[in-house]
Amino acid sequence: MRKFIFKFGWVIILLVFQNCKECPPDEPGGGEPTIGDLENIDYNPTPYDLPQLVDFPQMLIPDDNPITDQGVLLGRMLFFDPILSVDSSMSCASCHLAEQAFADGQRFSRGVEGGFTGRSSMAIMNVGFNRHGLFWDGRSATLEDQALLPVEDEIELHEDWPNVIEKFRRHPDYPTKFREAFGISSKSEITKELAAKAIAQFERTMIVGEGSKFYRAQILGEEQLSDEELNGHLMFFDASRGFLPDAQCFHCHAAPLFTDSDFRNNGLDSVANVADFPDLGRGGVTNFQWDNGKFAAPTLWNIELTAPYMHDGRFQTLEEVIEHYASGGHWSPNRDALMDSISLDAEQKADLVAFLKTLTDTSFINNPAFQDPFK
Amino acid sequence: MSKVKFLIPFLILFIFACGEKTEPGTGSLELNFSATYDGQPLATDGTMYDFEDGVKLRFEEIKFFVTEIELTNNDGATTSISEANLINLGGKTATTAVDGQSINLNNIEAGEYTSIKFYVGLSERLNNTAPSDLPATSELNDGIYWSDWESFIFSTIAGKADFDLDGTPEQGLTYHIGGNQSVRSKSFPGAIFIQEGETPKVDFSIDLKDVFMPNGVAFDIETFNIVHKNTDVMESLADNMTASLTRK
Repeated sequence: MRKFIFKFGWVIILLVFQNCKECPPDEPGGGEPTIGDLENIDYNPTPYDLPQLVDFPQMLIPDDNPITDQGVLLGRMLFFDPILSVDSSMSCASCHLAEQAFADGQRFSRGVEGGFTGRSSMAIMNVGFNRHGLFWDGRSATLEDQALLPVEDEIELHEDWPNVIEKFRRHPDYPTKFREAFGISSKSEITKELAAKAIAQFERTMIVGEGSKFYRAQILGEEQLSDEELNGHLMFFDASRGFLPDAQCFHCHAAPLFTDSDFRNNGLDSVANVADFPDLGRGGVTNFQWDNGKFAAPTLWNIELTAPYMHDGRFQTLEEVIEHYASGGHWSPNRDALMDSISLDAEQKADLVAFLKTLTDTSFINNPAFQDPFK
Repeated sequence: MSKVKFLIPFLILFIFACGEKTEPGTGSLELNFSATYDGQPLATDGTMYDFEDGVKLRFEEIKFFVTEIELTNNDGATTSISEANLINLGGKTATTAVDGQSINLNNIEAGEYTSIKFYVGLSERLNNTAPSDLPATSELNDGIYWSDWESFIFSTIAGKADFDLDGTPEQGLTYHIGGNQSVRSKSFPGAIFIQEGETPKVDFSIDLKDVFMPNGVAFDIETFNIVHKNTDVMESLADNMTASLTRK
C-alpha cells in the first residue's frame, strides 16, 4: 500500500508542475517536428516603442502579450500573408486596405470563395484602445480573440487553424519568426494563439491621429482650423455656448479617440419590435433583446477614407451620414435616446463635414510600418 | 510512512500552487449595486414606469462611477480600498436587475470598520486629471472624458418618456453629469468586518424614482430632456442621485 501511495504521489507531483504551465498547444495532424529544433536561433525580444500621442490614454497591454519588435514584425507578416486562407488567395489585408484606413471600401466584403460577409469591413485604427469588444457587435473581447475568428469563418478565409499551423511549420521563415517573437524552442510549439498574439501586437501599433490637422490644431495648438472647420468643431462638441446648434456627435465620438466603443441603435432601421431587426447586432452576442439592432460606434479618425459608412455600408458619403443624424433616423423602440432631429442648415452640415475631414491622417495610411512586408 | 510524509508538502503545493494570492492579514469585500424604481427592480428592457400625470418613463442606460472608496474604523481612521469603479446597471430584465453589479475589492486590512464612504461620481482630485494622466489599468478609462468641459462624465442616465400618453415613448432623455460642481460624496454607516478568507457583502441600491421625483416633486424632464452642460440641473441631479443611493 505504501508503495502504491509513493508511486501515486509522484504522479501528483508531476501534475503540480504540469498544472502550472501554459496548456500545451493543440497538435495538428501530420508533421514530426523535432524537439528543440529552434533553440539555436537567438531569442532576444526587443520591447516595441509604442508612441504616446498627446492627450491619448495609455493603452492597456495584456501582461501575457507585451509588444516587441519581433512580435510586431511577425504579426505584420501574418496580417498580409494569404497563407491564412484556404486557397492562399486572401489575407487580413484583403479586406483591410491601407489606402482606406484599413477598411475595404465595400458595403459587404467578399471572402475567398466570392461570398459576401454580412457587414462592412471595420477600419483598423487605434483598436488597441478598445475596451468594449471588437467587431461591429463586440463579440471578441480582445484583439487576440478577434484575430482567431476570420480564419475559420466560412465566408472570409474559410481555413482551419490546424492547417494554417501546419503551413507555418513547413514555412521557410515562420518557425524562426515565431522563435524570435515568442521564444518557442521547436516548431511544434507554434500555435494559433501565438499567431493571434502576433497579429494583435501589430494591430496595437496602428495608432492614428498624429498626422491630422485636428491633432496639430486642437491638441498641439500649432495650426488654426478654418472658420468652417471651427464651426464644425463647435457643433460637434457643443462648445459654441449656444450660438451654434448642438450636433450631439461628441456623446459617442469623444476626443481623442473619437469613439466610446459602445453599442447603440442609431436609427438605421424602422422596426416595430426589437425582435424584428434584420441584423441583431449586439443583441446577437448578449442575447439581451434590448441590445438588438445596436452596433459599435466606430472611430471617426480618417472617416473621410473609410466610406461606405455604417455596419452595412449603406451611406456612401459623409454628407449622407450627416443628413441621417440631422433627421434623427428611423424610429424603433430602442433607438438611442440621443437620436432626434437636429436643426442644421446646409452651411452647418457642410461645416461638420469640413471638421470631420480634419481627422484625416494620411501619414497613418502611408506609414511604411503598416505596409505589406512582402512587397 | 516517511516517504508518504515527504509527499505531503508537494500535495499542499499542488492544491495551492495556482490559487489566488492574498496578502496575510487582509480580506476582501464585495460591494453590490442595484437599481430600483419605486422600490421595484429596475429593468432596462423596455419596461415602462409611472412618472407623474400619467407620463411613463423607460430607462435604457444607468451608469455611474464610485470613486475613492474608503472604510472608517472606530477611531475615525480611514483605509482606502479602491480608486475608481464604473457601475453599469443597464442590460437588465426585472429578474436580473435584482442581481445588480458587484465589485470585489481585495487586500483590505483586516479589522472592524464602522462605515464606508465614496464619491458618487468622481472626486475633484480625480476629475482634475485627464485620461492621458491615468495608468492604463484605471477604470476611469472605461468612461468618457470631455476635453472641452475638462471633465469626466460622472454618471449617465438615458431613456425615453411618453409625454403624449399614446403608449409610445418618443422623447429621448439623456442626462450626462460631470464637472467639479457635481462632485458629491456620501458616507454609509454600518459595521463591516474584514477578515482573512472572508468576503462580506455590502448592498447598495439607487432608486430612480427618487432621482426624478424626490419627495414626490417631479423633476422637469420635459424642459430638461438632454442635459450635459446646464450646471444647475446637473448639480440637482447629482444631489438626487447621491440622496437616492442607499445602503440596504
